[in-house]
Amino acid sequence: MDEQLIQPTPLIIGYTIVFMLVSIGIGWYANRYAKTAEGFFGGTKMFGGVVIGLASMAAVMSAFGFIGGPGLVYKFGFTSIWMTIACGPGFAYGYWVIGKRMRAMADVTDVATLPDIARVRFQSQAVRGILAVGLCLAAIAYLSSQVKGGAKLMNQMLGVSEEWGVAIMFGSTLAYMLVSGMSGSILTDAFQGLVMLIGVIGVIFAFFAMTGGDFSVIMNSPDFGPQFVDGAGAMPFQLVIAFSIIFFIGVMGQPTMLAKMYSVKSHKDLKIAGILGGTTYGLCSLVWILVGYGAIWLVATGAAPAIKDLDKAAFLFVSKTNGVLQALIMAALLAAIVSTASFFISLASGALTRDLAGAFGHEIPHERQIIYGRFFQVVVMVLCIGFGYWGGRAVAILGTLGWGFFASVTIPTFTMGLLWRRCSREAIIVGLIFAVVSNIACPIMENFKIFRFPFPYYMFTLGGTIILTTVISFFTDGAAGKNLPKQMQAVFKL
Amino acid sequence: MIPITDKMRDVLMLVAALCWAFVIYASWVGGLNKDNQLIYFGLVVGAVLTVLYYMMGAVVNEKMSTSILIWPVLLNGIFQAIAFTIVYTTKGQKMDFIMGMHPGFFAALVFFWLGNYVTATLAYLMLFNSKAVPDDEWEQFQKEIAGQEKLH
Repeated sequence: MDEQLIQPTPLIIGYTIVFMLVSIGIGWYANRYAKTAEGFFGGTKMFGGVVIGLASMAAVMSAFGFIGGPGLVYKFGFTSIWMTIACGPGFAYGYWVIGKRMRAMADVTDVATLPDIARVRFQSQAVRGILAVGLCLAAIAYLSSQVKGGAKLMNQMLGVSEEWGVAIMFGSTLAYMLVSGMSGSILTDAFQGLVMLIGVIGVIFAFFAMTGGDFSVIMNSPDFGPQFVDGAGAMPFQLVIAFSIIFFIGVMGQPTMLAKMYSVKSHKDLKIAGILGGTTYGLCSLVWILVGYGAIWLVATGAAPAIKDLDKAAFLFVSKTNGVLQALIMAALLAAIVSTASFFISLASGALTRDLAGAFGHEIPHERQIIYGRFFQVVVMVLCIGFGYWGGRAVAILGTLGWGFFASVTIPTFTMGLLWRRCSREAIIVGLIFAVVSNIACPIMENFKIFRFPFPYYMFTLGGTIILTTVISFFTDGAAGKNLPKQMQAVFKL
Repeated sequence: MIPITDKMRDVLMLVAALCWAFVIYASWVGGLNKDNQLIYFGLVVGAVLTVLYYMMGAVVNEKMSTSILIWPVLLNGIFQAIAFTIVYTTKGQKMDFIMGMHPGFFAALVFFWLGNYVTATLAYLMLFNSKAVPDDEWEQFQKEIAGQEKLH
């Protein structure tokens, strides 16, 4: 068991139990929305802007934002903050760029999953299949990398062993996902988003009460210095390019956000969804910033000893707050993990049930898809837990598949595909193959010390995919230009 | 009104691809040679990239009003460029704080974070009905697809 920075008080344990019971209750309630495959796998055209806005924020803001982010701030200062300050405004930017066209696709075809839209836009089962493989692989890899973090959190919150922590956290998530699928994920995510916002208020209060907002102590500390308070931080400067661009443009490439664009009931709900999602994400970014700098301040002033395990920075800060704030903030951390996990379980099971089989010409009958979907939810969960614990080096490699991988398979497919008539089927197939292969090959090469880019490899894979897709589109015309179906022409006029 | 026709989109997509190529080059060569000026140029080109996608998305029926082009589209890129410039010029220096923040920290938060909110989130709130997703355009779309079979 890890060093216990937080003592699990009755308040923390009680709040955690209430949080989980309410989540399960909401998930079961959501069963009424999950009677069809579209409702179970997509929550298509079912929810208002407030629910979608909160759910988008909760699903995008993962444990990395609440635990990993502050750890990076503690170690490197401002550099990693570019990710989160790019991401918040990127929500509305994404809605400006493709929100209305994604929602329009739900009116021209039956949408339950993202590969459904890709298949219709490019009139290709191959595009559907490759995208499904990519999404499924990245979702499982990403979830696997969260297993140990979730276990550590439960260990700190409840004082239970990591194994029990995993069983409690993922067991309760599965308890409602099996009942209501993506609809349950969206509704519980909205609730969990609220829990996260309450935690943010706790963090703001705790930070200023603790530090008085005085950063000069950090700048003048021999252990830290000006690099820790400027706008570039201590990481190599080129990382600011990757973080600021890929996390601003890349928001509209995240399935957690893209899939919500067709879940809004009416086109008018896009407005609230875009604004609320971005604004609440911005508030949650304060956890990344303030908790990270709070931990630095504690060490710079000698109020706490330096830490080696970066994931402990968040717990160090929380351990210095009072009991009520600890309960609020720890529950917010838990909400961040669970909300992201539930979405990815649904994403992966939907891709396996509907899209992979369909791409090979074996569409599962509509009425049986939900049953298969539930089966695959369990399979995905077991795979993730097993892989997360016993995957060894493979987890370290594939755990990096996340934001950049999703952006490199979805931005060409949806952003370019829905903005540009000329974007062709052939180009997308080549682009997707390049994205999947390079996103797996690059971390393997880095891990085995064969080759390493001087910047995050996903900038190369995303940029490379976009360049390839653009160039090939100029020389091919499958499902492009005049070869687009008539219904698609209407979407392009929006 | 500025027409954003198919030909214009071809050009914008091509320019975007070139921008991606430069951004990768700047990160790669700039990173290897520790050439912060080249990295700074990469950041500015990144701001151009965001403007290009914005131009293609914030369009209704292949037209964009001049006011939309200025605010929020171009202003979005300008705010980003200002933030990158200040961060680059103040990087690693001990300086007087502005409102309790290092000037680089201040620029990142105010010009990049808040600036992007003003030019994306606030703009979406204010312009949704009139410029982003006008009701009449949506109704026209619904009419157009009403008589057609769903795509499969």
